[in-house]
Amino acid sequence: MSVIHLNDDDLVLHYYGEMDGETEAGASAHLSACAACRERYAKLQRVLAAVETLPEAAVDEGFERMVWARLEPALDGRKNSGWSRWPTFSPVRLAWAAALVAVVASAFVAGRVWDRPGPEPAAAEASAKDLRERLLLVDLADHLDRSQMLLVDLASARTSGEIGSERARAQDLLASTRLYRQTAASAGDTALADLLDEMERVLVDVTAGAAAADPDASRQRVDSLLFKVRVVSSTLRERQKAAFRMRAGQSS
Amino acid sequence: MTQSDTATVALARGGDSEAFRALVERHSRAVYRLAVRMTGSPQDAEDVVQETFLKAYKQLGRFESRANFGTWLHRIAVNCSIDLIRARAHRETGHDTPDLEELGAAADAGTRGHVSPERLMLSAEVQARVQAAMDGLSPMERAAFALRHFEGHSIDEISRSLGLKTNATKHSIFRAVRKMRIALEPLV
Ligand SMILES: [Zn+2]
Repeated sequence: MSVIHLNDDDLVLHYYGEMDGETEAGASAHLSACAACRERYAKLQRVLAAVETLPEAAVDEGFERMVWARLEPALDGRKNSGWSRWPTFSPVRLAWAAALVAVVASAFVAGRVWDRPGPEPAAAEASAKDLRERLLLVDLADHLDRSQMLLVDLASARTSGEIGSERARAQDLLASTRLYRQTAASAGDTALADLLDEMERVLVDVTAGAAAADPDASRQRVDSLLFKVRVVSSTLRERQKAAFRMRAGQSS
Repeated sequence: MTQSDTATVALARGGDSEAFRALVERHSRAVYRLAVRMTGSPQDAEDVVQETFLKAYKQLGRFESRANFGTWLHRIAVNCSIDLIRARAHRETGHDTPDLEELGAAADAGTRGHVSPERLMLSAEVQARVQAAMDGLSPMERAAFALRHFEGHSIDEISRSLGLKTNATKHSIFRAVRKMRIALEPLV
């Protein structure tokens, strides 16, 4: 029988079953033979059993709601950042576009989009909302870019027989163009609404595959629209950059 | 994992935010309680809860659907707690020194001489002692001890989580147990 007693740390390892096989066998044998160590071990067991009585942390009623309320705005921000990468129009995108109506409308009304980058909001909630708006505007700019590319292709297409792929793209753009147009109109931005209205008409024609009665007039219409989209699109980009620079300056 | 967790996780992975909300409602208490034990602070624990679910949300696509969501979330929560403890440790250096004598003196003053057997039986008194002893642990001692004692993690696992050598983890646990002994032996 071993005459070396178990020290406190050995007893702790034994308690948690953290001794390797051989050491564990030796410790167990010693404990069954040594009353002094057995008593010390019993004391340790009582102490650690007492630790077990530590109550679970108190959790307020409505804790889960509080967690969700804090969490949700942050989740939206992360989710939104993926939206602009969606390749084409889809039912999910349609739902997003509908949600956009309210957000962009409020931004238009506040004059934040077109006139100035709004003041930096203090509250986390405000900045999450602000982020959402900015992301949605990035998407509006992307939409205009895609419209622009389509118009370039249309302008260079010589006959209606060459616009097969453009028809599919026009269809993709049509529903969101309509929603943006409604948004702009309800926000009182008639210039943007008129532009999108013109865009929508062109898209409808392209989608329907209607052969232009007057190809020259049709090309002129596309050229004129293309010019306007380029102006609005670049203005939008410039304002986004200005807003970004202003925010970056404020936060540093 | 419960059947409803499996289905809910699948929905949440598909982008259903109501499903994710259901997961938050089901698991946030457990995450909070774990975080309180690991950090020793309700405020820090709330931050851990936020960070845990944000991470879970971001990494949901990587979650193995056959795995247990609660276990997966638990692992994230442990890591978030450790990250927070490390961040705090950087700011509050010197807080890590054990204060055994002071703790022991307090335990003695509170018990020696005038403790009735009835009073010893009062679990409230024991609980207050445990709480005080837990509060007296250094952040690393608390994290290691909470994971070993309350969460049943092995010392090897804890060492990996904390990024410590096995011996360092053992010694953190030994010191924590010693503090528990000093606080509680007079009572038990
Ligand atoms: Zn012995």
